[in-house]
Amino acid sequence: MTSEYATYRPTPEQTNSDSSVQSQPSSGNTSAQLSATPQSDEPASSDTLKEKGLAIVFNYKVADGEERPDSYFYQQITSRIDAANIPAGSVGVPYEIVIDFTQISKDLHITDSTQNFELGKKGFSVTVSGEVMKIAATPRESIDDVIKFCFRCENGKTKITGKDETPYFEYPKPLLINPHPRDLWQNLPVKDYEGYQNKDYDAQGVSVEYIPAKKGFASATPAKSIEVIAASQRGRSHAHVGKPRDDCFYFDFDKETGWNFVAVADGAGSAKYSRKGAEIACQTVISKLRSALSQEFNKTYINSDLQLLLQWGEEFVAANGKLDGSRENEFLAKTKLGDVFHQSVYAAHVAIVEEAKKRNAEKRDDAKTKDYHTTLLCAAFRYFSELSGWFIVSYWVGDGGAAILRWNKTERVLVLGEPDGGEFAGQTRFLTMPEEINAAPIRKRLRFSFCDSFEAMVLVTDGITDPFFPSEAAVVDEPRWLEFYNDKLKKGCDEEKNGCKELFDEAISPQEKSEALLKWLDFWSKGNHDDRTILVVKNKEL
Amino acid sequence: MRRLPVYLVLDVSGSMTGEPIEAVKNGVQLMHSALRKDPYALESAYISVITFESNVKQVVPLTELSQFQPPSLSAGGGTSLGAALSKVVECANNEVAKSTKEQKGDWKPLVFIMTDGSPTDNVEPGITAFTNYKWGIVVACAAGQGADKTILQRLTENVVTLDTADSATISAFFKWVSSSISASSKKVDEAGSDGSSSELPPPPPEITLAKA
Repeated sequence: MTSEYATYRPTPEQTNSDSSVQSQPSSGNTSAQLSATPQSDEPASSDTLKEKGLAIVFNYKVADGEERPDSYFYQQITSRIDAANIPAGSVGVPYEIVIDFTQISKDLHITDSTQNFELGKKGFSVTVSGEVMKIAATPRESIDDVIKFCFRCENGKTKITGKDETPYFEYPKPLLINPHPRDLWQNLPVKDYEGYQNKDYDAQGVSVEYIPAKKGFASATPAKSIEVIAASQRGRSHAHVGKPRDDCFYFDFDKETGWNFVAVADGAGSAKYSRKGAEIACQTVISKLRSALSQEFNKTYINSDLQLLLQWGEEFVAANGKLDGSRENEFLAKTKLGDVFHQSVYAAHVAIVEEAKKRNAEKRDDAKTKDYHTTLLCAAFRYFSELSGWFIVSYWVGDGGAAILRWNKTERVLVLGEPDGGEFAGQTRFLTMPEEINAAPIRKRLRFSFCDSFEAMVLVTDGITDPFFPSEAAVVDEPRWLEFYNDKLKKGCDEEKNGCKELFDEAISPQEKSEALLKWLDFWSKGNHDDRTILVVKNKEL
Repeated sequence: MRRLPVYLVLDVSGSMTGEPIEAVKNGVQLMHSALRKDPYALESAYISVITFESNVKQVVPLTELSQFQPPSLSAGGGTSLGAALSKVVECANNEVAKSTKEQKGDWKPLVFIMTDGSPTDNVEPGITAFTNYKWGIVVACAAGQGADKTILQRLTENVVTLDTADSATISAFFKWVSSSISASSKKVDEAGSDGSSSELPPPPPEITLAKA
């Protein structure tokens, strides 16, 4: 600022009250003193204010015949600036300060002297309409500075330094524009994989077609085709500190037996080798299921299991009147198929225990099973016949979610288990916990589902459920799953509204769909920066 | 989204006049400008400031970090620590969302209490109310020689003492407060914890952890 004009400096007391929220203009108070206080007497904070500052200069004109002293105008104008209660802003969010100068004088003219250059450079506009001033911007960068309100009376005269000069005041107010948190996250390469290397992201998609064996001369059974599309991405909080992705997915098919296998797992953030735990869990459970659910098994047990179920169902209905879904599940968990799942999940747990032992023997770094803590959501499913439709067996331990959407061409959702956590938020269960490997907890977590058709099966880790489901308990909520699938996934879920339309575009290959899904995983959701993994099975009839 | 509530309970009694109150003001500013550069804190921390002298005031209600403005503080009056403790419980009851079956609540609040004297009111009801609430981390700071440590030790095991209430020491304390908040907002992110971990970053040399 040029010192062309005498500068009015508020006394320290006035500076101290400058961010008082409640300060209201009080017309009766004219106690402000005109003084040319030397700089050295001011508190230290004022000195730092002076070094920086985005000046905004404006002129005001008082009404003809206005008798009130300049101190009155200083008091009034500054109290109006205080009353505007300049808020903190954020990068990218429209921001506005409105300062109301009405009723200070019966004819006060405020004009923007267009010298708000420094503020203008930051993208702010200053407009004056009547006696109301608006300072507005959609800030492009973070600011930790001071707006220096400089105001000069065009037609007043005052005595400040003993001679008549045009009154000129400066009034500093802090201006705080916070960065967008997104711009603060770093994306650092993994510092140390500690022997368990993986990629920061993964995207895979395949399609599988089944032509059912002809039964007799006039089989009307349609061919079935599914697509499995999966993507997994390292979370912002992991990328920020150079930690690896702890989520993973895995899938497999056996064209001979018709069984399909899918799994997602989320290694615990607090367990140092959990990425390996998640990987072993997915791969082991699927390879065990695949080898157990052989053609031989299909022939020997599946039909008999189903037969047993039918028989049991008839007896149950005869005894109780109607079928009850949960009891059906209880029954199936005791069948041979229940045994197979029990053994496979158990094998996954044991494989992780063995890995910890092996590492300990090789590296002597005291690796424990809990260092490999992981959740697991997995399913084995196949199409039987027009009569039996699809049969889905699933197992789910820990947080995240799994569901079948739009089964039997309805708007219904089959949730494939119950989320852990419940009452005490933040508590989850892991496959790797010793109490999870007994027969009872494993079989309790199994779900057997039948449906004639379904549109999609979705398995996700908590990096996806946290932003879209308000609690673990809400993960059983059908409307929320539909909203997630129809809305968030298709149409997008953040400011940019980038939905993953490609997922529903039949002209695109499964691999391309998975890459689009990976892009979608980058959605912005405040406070949700965990690894994210989603696996979608799309079912279409050929 | 689950918020990490942080309550700063600050003594602004008459004995804080001059350098101490200026140092506290600068400390709050320092803490704020450090936290706003931390993406974890910027996404989850919510800050409230409660001051006490003869009267207790919540000068800043629980505010998202990106909307927080350091308040102006002025010193004068008695030391109503008891009323301040009741106030922070009342504020937390009103402002902190509890977990229900339908909704994940906020993380357990962090509380930083700073005082340089002995209470001039009846502290017992305040202490009872305060210790009945389930806080995350509670840090009590006895600033200077005149501060009553024994009462603070009834509130938390994390009692720190500042030998002097000068600006360098107080600003070191607030630096430590901001790194504690940073660490907590990072920790709540590593799912599994309920935010109640009592781990604090090591205090700087100006700050002494008091022995019970």
